Amino acid sequence: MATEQQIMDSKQVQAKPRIRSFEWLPFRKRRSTREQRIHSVLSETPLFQSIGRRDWTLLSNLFHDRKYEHGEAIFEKGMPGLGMYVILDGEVDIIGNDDDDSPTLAHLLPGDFFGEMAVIQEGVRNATAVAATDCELIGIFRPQLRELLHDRPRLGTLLYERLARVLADRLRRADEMLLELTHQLDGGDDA
Amino acid sequence: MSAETTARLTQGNPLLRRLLALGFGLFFLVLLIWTFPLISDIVTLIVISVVISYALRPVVNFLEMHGINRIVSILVIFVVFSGLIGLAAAFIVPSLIQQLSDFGRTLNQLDFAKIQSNVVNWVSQYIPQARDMMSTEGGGQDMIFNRLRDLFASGLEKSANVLAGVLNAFTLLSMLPILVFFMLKDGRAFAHGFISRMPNRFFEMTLSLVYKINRAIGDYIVSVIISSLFIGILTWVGLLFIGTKYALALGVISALFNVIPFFGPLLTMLVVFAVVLLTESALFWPLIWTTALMFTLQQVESFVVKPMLLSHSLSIHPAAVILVVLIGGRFAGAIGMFIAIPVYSIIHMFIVDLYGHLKNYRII
Repeated sequence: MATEQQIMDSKQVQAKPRIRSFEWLPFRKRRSTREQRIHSVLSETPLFQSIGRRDWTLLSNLFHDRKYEHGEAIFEKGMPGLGMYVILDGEVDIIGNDDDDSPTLAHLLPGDFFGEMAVIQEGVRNATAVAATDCELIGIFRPQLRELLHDRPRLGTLLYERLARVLADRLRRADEMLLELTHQLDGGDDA
Repeated sequence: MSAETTARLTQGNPLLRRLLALGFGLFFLVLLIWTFPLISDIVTLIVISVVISYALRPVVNFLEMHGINRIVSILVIFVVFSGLIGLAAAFIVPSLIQQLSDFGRTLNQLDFAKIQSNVVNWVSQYIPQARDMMSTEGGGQDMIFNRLRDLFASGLEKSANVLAGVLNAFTLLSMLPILVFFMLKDGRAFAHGFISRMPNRFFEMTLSLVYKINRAIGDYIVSVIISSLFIGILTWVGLLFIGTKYALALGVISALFNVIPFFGPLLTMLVVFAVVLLTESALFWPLIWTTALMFTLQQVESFVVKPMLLSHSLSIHPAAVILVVLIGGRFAGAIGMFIAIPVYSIIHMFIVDLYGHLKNYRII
């Protein structure tokens, strides 16, 4: 049931694709290699699906390219959060704390994104992100998204709406897990 | 998390890193102080360009938001502002020059004996003994008026020097539109490039700092410009309404002085009172009206305009204001005196925010 709802939600979020009938023209500005690479990875993520070419160029100018070595901290728990990262290449571990015993909460692969709560809310990071291999990331940050919301309200609202849906989806899943755990605990008590 | 990862997180010698950073900081500070006299004109030019680009940026962003290409937006603003400056040059500047030269001539031909008798008559209406007292101490009285005259003469001479300085700076200022154009066009790309070059450890901190300071500086500059324009225009209109001479010149002086906190409004009041004293024969009502006008304007500016424009105003100690203005004057003459406080405010904001960010991101 939840899966069908998610599919319907993602359909609603998708923007109408732009007409690209002039892309074959020789004088039309072509995408740079960087832009093409970012596009190939990010257009597969729920946040950036079906975004028009002009908007895409604008967005890719807002992104920050970052490279991290294996074992390097991307951000640490307790530090002020400023934005989210999308993995272009490599793998990232999300861990609860900086110490050795801390469990890995998530192991992320190319196309995955993390730290998105910081885009919505100003606050501290609630986990540490560490490069599990040498990796290339794209950083998208709150101040720039706010500027985008002001300068290009349509595109800015679309991104914030998608982000809100991603977070709502995660919250729904967390609620389901919590319910399941509560049932398990109740079952254990009854037994 | 592996031990290797922990080792990477804490790698390097923090004390050595701090000493190196301190050493580099001191080196650049010494280099800046040593080379400043040679490049002070260029630094002033850059600071003025930054101020203008910050002031125009909201308008460019507004036009861009409505679908106009950024370069076209900048060019449109340049054309509109050139037109406005042209109109000002055609209508306001001749009148302003006329008023200033008239005022200078008035000072030269001033009958100080007449002013003296005006003041003595006015005071003796309320304190009858004053006439006797003032006449018995004629020497002291003469001395006061002679000093006043000397003060105005030296003030005029200094103004002439300031004017000469401005004219000399005119050559450099011709570069101003080009610099402003590129700052408006590529400002974001510069900031983006600068942030992208930061090492990973400092990256988020720098990004946050740059955006926060950028916004604070923008808000501050726009608020100073708007409140100065507000004060300037209302002083002009108010003085015109009261019937004070040289209202336009006084309005311009008031707008310029308004940049300097505490002392700017005081200096404006001094100049306005001096003009009233030197030009009016009946002193009582003009002085009352002028005082009421200046006081009301300052209250409105402090409690209505500035709070509306800026959520929190930067508090600077009066002693610091004097010191900063003097240092600004020493480095870059008259222009330096006017931009000293905004530049100080920007540096102050930068240092406070930098310290907060270094603490929050656990760099210090």
